[in-house]
Amino acid sequence: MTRLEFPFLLLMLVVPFIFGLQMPRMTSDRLARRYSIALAAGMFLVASALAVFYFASLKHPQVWVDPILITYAGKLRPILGIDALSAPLLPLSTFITLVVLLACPRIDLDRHHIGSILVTEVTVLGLAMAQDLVVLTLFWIGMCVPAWLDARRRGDIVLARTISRYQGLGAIGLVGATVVLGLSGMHDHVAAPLAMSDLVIHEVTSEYAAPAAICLVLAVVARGSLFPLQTFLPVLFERGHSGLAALLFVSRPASYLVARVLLPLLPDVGPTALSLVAGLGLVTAIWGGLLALAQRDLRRFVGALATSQSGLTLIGLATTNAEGLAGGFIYWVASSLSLSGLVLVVAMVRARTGTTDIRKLGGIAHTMPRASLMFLAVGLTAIGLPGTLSFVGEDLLVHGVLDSYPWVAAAQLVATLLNGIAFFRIYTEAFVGKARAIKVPTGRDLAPRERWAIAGLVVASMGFGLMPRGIVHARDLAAEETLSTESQHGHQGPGKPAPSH
Amino acid sequence: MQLDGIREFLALGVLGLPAATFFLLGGLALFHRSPDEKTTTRLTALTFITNFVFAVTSLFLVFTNGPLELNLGSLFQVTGYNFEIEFLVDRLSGTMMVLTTTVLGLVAFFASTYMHREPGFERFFILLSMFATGMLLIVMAGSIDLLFGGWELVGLTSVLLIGFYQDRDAPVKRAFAALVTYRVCDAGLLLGAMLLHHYAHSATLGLAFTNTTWPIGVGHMGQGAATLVALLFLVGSLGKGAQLPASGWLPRAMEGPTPSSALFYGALSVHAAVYLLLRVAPIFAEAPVARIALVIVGLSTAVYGTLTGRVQSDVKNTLAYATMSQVGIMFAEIGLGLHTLAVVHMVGHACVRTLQLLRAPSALREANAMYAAFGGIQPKTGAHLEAMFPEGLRRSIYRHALDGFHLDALVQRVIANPVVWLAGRVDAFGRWFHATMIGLDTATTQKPVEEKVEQEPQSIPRPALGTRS
Repeated sequence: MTRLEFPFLLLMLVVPFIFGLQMPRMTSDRLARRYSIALAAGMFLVASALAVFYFASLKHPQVWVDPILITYAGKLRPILGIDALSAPLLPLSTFITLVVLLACPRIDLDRHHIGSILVTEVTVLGLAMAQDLVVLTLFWIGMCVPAWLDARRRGDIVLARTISRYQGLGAIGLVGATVVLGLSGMHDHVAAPLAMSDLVIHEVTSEYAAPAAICLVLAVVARGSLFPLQTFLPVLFERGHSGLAALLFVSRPASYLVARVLLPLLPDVGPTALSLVAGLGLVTAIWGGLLALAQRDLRRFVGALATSQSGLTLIGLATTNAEGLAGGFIYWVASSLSLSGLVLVVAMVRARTGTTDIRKLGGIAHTMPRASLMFLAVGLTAIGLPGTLSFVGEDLLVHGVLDSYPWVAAAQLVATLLNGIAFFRIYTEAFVGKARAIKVPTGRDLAPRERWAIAGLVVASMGFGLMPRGIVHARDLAAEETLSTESQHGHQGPGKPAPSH
Repeated sequence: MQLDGIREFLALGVLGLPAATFFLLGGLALFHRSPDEKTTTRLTALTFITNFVFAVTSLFLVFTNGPLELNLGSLFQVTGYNFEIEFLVDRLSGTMMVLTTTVLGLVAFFASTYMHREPGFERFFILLSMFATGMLLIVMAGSIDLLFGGWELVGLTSVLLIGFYQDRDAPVKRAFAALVTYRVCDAGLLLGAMLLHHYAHSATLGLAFTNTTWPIGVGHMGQGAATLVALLFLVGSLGKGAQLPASGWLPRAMEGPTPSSALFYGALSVHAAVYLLLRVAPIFAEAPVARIALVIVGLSTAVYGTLTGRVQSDVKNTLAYATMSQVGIMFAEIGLGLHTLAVVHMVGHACVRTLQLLRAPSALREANAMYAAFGGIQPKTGAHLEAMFPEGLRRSIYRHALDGFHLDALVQRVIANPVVWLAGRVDAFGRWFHATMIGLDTATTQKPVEEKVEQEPQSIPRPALGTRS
């Protein structure tokens, strides 16, 4: 058996965490940037290698990535590991971190911000690897702490309160669900009531399942920026640090919770809860589209688009069929790539003009043609242009949703329609047309590192869009794994069982 | 066997060459390494000449050896769903391939001189290659899914070319208006494609219709489903075909460069709608209600186009309304089941209109020359409508025609304004709800964040090639 025994998973969390905590003590911002970019590049390579190794292990069972195990209730159980759901998320998160560190304007990237970005990356990776409810809850809660601390450091009371109130609700939901599921396990004498490997075999009884599902839906609504709490993402993107906002959007904790906990652990109440999630996702998707249409601020516009796409992803995950689930997973990756690019281009424009108000911008393509081209290119990958990954995601989503909720499919198209129109409205108002109040001096266009980083996102989206078989297969495996866990509940756990030691 | 291989090579070449040119030119532009005008022109000319030869040969082989179905496997596949890459070259698509490559070549040749030293020369040719890829994808698609891919590419290129002159507000606003129309109508096409999957269990033309030899294909969905799908395809075709009530964008689209106007609104893009309807004619054959709707839409647009076109003072606008009118007649022909007539009409109209639009910039000079040739006497033409109506009615018609029968204002009032109003209310409610959630007032939450501006330049502009310090 070819086993990857080196504790890569643990190192991927520990090393950036230590770096992140040490960053504020660096002697200069420049040095901090260099170290962090080198670290992020290394992390991306390792994460990609781990993902490749994992998918190779599916074809060659003798290959195996070791999970991180601890002795729990007298038996070794995984607390961190890789499966079909998390494997592509590791390279995705590390890639976005690298792009953020490369492309974020220098003015927004001091030592403190770099530290926050690295610690946030740790929580995003940790959430993706979590195989235990307590570990998952800790990473879930910890994820917003750097952004909250950053808001407090900058004295932005609005953002700090938004994060604490909205995410507090999400944390209450998840902690509640963890407690209920743990009690259910204890009631049924499960050896390790909080280990997902054990919980997935044990069937949660109905008196515990309903409250657990209610708590989980609350957590999903709060963290997924779903209706009626859909105002979180616009505020985060408008007032928060661009890099942190991008990373928090990539992590998609609500989608993760649906795929990791709600679907596999609560199959009995799942359909009701998922219908609710799908309904709220639809309202959110349309709401986000309308919101995007009304925006005059570029950053808030990206937040509105993120809200809409978050809703669309959750609709796909709530379909419980292979097409919808795979579509949801693909859309997750696609919107992460494109919205990260959008928020970064907007940050670049803001760093040069001092504003993101489209009434003041207008016609900046004349002096910033590269920024304009990048905004257009990244935006087109966000609104489902054929040949991009979001087109593949949308196609699968609509097919999947059509099978489960036919009318939702039609309404879902309204959301994608609004997103496309809103994007072009913003582009035409801010970038082309007659120059308005803000005159950008020539020579202030994007620097090479910024161009290459954003072009990397565009190429990734188009590359996967033109040759999507690999990523679709990977996401289909995740969908199948989730569905098989749900349908064969009580007989089989998710992914591969841990090797006996 | 060998001949099949050649045919497949030709078909893939027709689609692949412009796609390769687009990716090459677009990739270089993305990394800011665009070639000079001469290289761009030569590359494009080589592409379209080769394309034309391939297309003519493909059509000849269709007539001698029958249609070609080419399956390249699946683009992606999940449990229960397969997105097939399937092409179909039959009499209909072969004819359109020849028309498309001919017009593309001519327009590219014309544009190489017309756009010389124009800012955005490379951008124009990138968009031209992108349009060629999209249009040929529409024409050759063997499934509605693939056709939709080409459809979106054509729409996007059209929008970007209408707003080609980016330094003025008017083209940009008109491009946006065209985009909104396209997106709304495209949603109908997409939903139609999805429902085709749902009812016929495939969007592949060969499977959805039992016979692929156009125009004899037969749908087998049942009348109710066929009517729903056909009506959605009709909605999808309204945007590109500039038919009522989605016709307002076409005259405004003439803001783009003349070669693109000729290509999109004279020759190919507007006829993509006709092609779509011809391609899915078997569904319409099953849906009499949809056919009636098609005839009504087509004839209404034809009358609207001819009346409004008569009061235009700009030659490109007049041609736009004339195009709209002719496409309307083609819609009616398809609705009446006159498919072959519609194809002949489409090809003939595309050629004539391209010529007229390409010559539009010199229309005044030509009119003067004609006036001089007639010895200073203006020949009276086009007065047949005047003979039909009494003067009072005629004046009333023309007065309303001057404002396009208030169609744009109606669409603005009934559709656009309510959506914008709703979006504003959604935003206001969201801001209030957020402020309430965090226990602050809306004035505080809407206070903008303090912005920092980078002082030092990020990049030093490179001197233009060929300049010396």
